[in-house]
Amino acid sequence: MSKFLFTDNDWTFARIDAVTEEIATIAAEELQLDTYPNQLEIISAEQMLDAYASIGLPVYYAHWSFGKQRAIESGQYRRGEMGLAYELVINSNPCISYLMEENTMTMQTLVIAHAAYGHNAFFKNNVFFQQWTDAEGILDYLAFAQRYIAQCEERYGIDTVTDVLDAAHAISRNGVDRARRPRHLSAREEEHRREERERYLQQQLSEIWRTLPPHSAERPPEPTGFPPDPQENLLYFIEKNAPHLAGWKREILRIVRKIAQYLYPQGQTKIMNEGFACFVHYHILHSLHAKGLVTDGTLLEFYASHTAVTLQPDFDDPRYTGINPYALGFAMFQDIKRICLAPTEEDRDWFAFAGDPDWRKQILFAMREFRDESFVLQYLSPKVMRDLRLFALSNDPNVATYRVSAIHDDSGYQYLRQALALQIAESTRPPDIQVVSVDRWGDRHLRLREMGAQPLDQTEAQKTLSFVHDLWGYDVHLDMADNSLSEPSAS
Amino acid sequence: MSTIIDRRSSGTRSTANQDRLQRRVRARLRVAVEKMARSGSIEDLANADQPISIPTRDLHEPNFRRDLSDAPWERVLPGNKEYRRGDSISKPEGGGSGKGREGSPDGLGEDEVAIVLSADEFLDLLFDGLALPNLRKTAQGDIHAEQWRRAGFIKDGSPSRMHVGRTMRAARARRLALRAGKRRELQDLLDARGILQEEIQDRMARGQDVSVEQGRIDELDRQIAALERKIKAIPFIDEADLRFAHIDQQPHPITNAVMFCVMDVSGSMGEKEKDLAKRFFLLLYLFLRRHYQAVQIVFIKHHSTASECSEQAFFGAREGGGTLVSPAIVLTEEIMQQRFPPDRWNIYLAQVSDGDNYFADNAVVGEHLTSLLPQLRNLFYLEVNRDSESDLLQLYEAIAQNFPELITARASEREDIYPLFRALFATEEIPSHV
Repeated sequence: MSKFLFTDNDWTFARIDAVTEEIATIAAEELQLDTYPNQLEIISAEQMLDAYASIGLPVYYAHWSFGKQRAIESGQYRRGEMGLAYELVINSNPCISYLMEENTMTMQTLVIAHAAYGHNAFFKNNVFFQQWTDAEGILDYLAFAQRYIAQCEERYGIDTVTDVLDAAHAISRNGVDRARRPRHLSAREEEHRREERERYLQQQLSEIWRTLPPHSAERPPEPTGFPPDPQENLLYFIEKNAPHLAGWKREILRIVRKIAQYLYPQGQTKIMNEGFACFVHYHILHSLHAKGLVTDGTLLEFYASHTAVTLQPDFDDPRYTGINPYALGFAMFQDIKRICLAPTEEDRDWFAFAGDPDWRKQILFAMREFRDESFVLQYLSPKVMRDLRLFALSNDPNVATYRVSAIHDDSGYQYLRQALALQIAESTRPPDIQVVSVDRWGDRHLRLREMGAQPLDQTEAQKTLSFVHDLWGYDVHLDMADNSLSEPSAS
Repeated sequence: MSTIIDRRSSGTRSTANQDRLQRRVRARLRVAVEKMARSGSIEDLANADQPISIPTRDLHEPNFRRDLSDAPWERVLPGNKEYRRGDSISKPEGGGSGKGREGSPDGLGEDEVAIVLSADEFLDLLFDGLALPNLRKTAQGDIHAEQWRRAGFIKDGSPSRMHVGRTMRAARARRLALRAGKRRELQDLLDARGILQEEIQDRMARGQDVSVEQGRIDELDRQIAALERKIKAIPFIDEADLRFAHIDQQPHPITNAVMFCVMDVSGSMGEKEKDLAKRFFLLLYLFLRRHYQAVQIVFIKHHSTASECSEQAFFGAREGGGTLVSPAIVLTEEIMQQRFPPDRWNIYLAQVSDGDNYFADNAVVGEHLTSLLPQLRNLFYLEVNRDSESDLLQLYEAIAQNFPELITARASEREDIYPLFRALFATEEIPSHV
């Protein structure tokens, strides 16, 4: 008597239900995954295009840029230049996964394992998602944002609202707190505040304190500049400090900022997130097959999709478009398991955990505690570098040739690791532009400075600056390493 | 732990975004639409469902980004085959390959976005800012007919208009409402009677006296009988239940229009002239469609005689002979009287000619026009492909002095038609001739 969950490849709700149940068992027992409850939604291709247009969010306010995105993507899709993703998953509680109706049953199985268990567990446990996003509140917040912006459009006109959104979108990547966690007033903090209040009361009660001379003269002088320290979050700074900005515009900036903040960890953990989800689906599909729940045919179809997704074309391959986060992430997670189960001498030199029989603990630790940059610095092993045949190329604009600065050999491993980590950091973070001063007693001009060393695209910067000017309402200057821009421009 | 939801039926939700996108590129869409109207094929105009390409630079979203084209950089690549540390690789010709991929998060390598307009959106753009000149004048006075219309239900009316369904519904509601309380009471009595009955049997079995209980049963039976009578007395149908369908006379605006297309098909009207005419007729037709629910078209061709014909015959035919305009005007008048009484129809007449007419006929034309014009919303006269104004055009212009609904124009190139059309119908002013 066969136990196969399905033998032909059409999906039905009953089959999806049965498969999900089996996958849940494997995820919990064999991988010890801790996940949000799942909500699987079957959608059509048109709806998938909608979801694409709004960065995968299920509810979003209306803006022309989403319409543009959709027009581009549906054009490519119709012309057959682009396939649609099999799934889309949202960091929310319950965790919403969209499954395409065109998927075969095998694909649905793969997608449920990948998204509803892999990504889901990542969202719930990775420290960056925990710190920066609020999975409980996001759906409500998005619904609020949509309502609020629709009300603003009604009251102030679509074009006025669009102008504010355009400007906010231009600096949304600079509207994220990168070095500071969003504040949760923790229980300890509350306790601390209470103690302080108590101490203050105590002081008021003790007569003896009154005899002390006032020490106000010893206080350090008030900082003269404003802001006292450079501020990295442009949107936040403008929202709080722009001299003349209507309340509703400030609220819109806040909405754009909140959503940018919510999306920030996704860019920071692309390699890990996809790598971990691939690791999970790879394990689950094999486990389903080993238990005799899926056929050999299903496993073969799975291999075809899996290898297509985790393919890393060589740099000289026409298909090459950069490092494939699926490929790198999957290779690294698989490698952590290998280092635990079958370490070589080299692995023992490189990794303290080599040979740890509890590979699940190591995998889950890696999944929880890192982001792409630190994950690569910590876990990219010589074996993965050799397998991918990584090498580093450096460019000096004044020299006619590129130079190979390191390859996958003993002298190059450390160098490659650091170079790749830096490359990831730079590509996932926008240029670091900070507010350094506001001339509060003069003409109120706002001065920004680019803190990084890499040059900015000047025309882009000028256009963006003009949006900042629209919001701030007074002159804006941007100082860079080699020159500076002003808005309105000096000419 | 898992919920599965079928979302496929909830449809797409991109309308709002698309609206805003079109709003943003409206100026550009308008240019594209106008270009189609000027030089595109007539088929394109009639069924506009083609995507319009908008350059993405119009929709650019700037942000602060790095530009590494002239800066030193280092990159890790996969797939090394032969390189060793320290190797030099010559840069590709033309340089500039150092542009970071991170520099273009939304640049999908596409420089155009295709926007598909629906037929309505297309026409809205095509005729944006235009209005029918005479429509404004008579916008309030457009109501010419009264019509009997359904107007709900009333409690009084002639038996022939009684609405059975509504009446029965009202009767049922009344019966239910009146009966419910009594039924409940009846049920209580029956229950009590049942209990008593059991008690009696119980007592009889034990050989006890049942006369008191019997008395109460009789009392209950009387009450039950009374209630049942009352329930029965509730009438199946009552006068208060009657409902009648009500009809009322309501003013009914005329929403239909008819467009008479009158064209000279004499030997002098060649392919080019007809193409000009067709463009003009088509634009006018599409424009009228925006204002009226339905627009009928009557084609009349004429040389020395006039006849009604099909569209193919109208644009295909090329007949010789001399030209008389008056028969066409007379025929229009006749058809109008027979099929399109002016108090029921909004009548438009569009006439295209090269202006050749027998001199003697002009007076006749003038006479007929003066009697015809008051019944028309507008008469558009387009003269094609002539270097100077014809006598006919001069006659029309003279008449237009007294009848502002007569509008004249001249055109000689296909590109002229749409601008001319815009000029004719621009809302800023109502030109009587161009």
